[in-house]
Amino acid sequence: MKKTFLFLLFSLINYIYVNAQIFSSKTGIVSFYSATPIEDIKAKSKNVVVAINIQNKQVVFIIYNTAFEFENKMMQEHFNEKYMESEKFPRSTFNGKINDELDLSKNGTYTISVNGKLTIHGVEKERNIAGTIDVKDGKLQISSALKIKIADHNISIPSLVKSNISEFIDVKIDATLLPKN
Amino acid sequence: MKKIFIIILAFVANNYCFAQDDLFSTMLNDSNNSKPTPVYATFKSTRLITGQSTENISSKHLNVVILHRFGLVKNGEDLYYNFLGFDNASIRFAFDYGITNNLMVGIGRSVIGKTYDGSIKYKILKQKKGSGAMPISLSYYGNMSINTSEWEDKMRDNYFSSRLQFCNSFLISRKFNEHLSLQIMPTFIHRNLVKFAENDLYVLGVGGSIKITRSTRLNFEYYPRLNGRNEQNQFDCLSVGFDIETGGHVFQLMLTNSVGMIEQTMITQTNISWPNQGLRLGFNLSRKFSFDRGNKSK
Repeated sequence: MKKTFLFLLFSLINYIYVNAQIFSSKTGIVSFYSATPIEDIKAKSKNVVVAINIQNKQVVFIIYNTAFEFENKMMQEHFNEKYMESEKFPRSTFNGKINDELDLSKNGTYTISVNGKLTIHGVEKERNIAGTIDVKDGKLQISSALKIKIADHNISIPSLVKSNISEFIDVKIDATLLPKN
Repeated sequence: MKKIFIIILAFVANNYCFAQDDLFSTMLNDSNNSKPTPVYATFKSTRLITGQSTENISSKHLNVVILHRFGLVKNGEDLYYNFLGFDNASIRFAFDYGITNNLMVGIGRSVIGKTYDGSIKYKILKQKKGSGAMPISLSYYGNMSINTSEWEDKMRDNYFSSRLQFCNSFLISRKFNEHLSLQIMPTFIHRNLVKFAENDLYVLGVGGSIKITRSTRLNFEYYPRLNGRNEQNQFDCLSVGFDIETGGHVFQLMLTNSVGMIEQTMITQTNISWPNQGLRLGFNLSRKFSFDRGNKSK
């Protein structure tokens, strides 16, 4: 009886302890920007899933391509239909690990570099991405900016619109992570 | 001793369970809500060819369309003299505006009959993807037109209402896969004044679209009349079209036997058929503009 009780107690403690290592958000913001002399294209998603395990320093991003909002809805349709092929590849993901030695349970601002796999349009790419983490009172504020080469992910631009879409896309990431319950 | 061992074992086992559950797959499963997602790009444009498709203009977007139907491409000595019919062009201008994502209104002016028209299209159902999701899209399209050309018989008592013609239709479409979309359009046409014909016409239009590349589509539409088939010199409208989308513009090139660019004239004033060399070239050129400033991304 006592044995079972202790077993359950430790399981519970362990469960809470393990979970407290994971910080996550479902409302991360990812925006991207393509600048050409002809037109600027920008879009933003406010429903990005972000998670960090502060013990093994794993970093995960899950972005739903159809959640990107464009000012021009026609571009939004073309983005999903012609370029990302969102029916075939609904998600863009990142799965990586923080390289730096740091203790994310302590308050402070940390500059980090993350190595991992960036998957867009079904094409996986090894990337090293720099960013910052601001740890404050049990909240992780992360932000990062990176460039993505469209051709790296097998996204081809029809020659008719080649001058309207930049070869490199600027991407910005912002998210506030809370302990996952 | 045994007790402690069991506790340690439990601790390790429990920890192991979590360690095995990789954060990436956990989050992927977490976020994998099976909510049905809307199907997009059933057709390239708000028009299949001359008739409407279930596509709407998004909220606060303006679509400017310039439509041309040329003269007959008829074998004979004037074929090249008229440059495949280009010298006898008929034109329509149209402006469509999205009030909401589901409600679109439009105005237009055609050369034929010096006609002004006003239209409304409302998305009633939207096709979605996912288990138990809506399998079709359904829209209502209505158009009222005013013929402003001079009265044919000036001696007669002529009323303004005699200038009016109406089109009411439902558009039912389904995107079957990435490459094939089909549509049926039960249509009812009412003309207030006719010479020797039915005031009311029922038409069951069918159409489809095949995606060839990311930027091009092949379309067809056929509007067989269900009544009034014994009218002289009246034929069903049949069109084959090719869409080219270039980012901001959609060019729709077509071969058709109809010169009308709204349903009323397309269905009631098609007076030659394909087998009688009734072919014309034509195009729609549409350009969309966004006035959606509220959605500006930083």
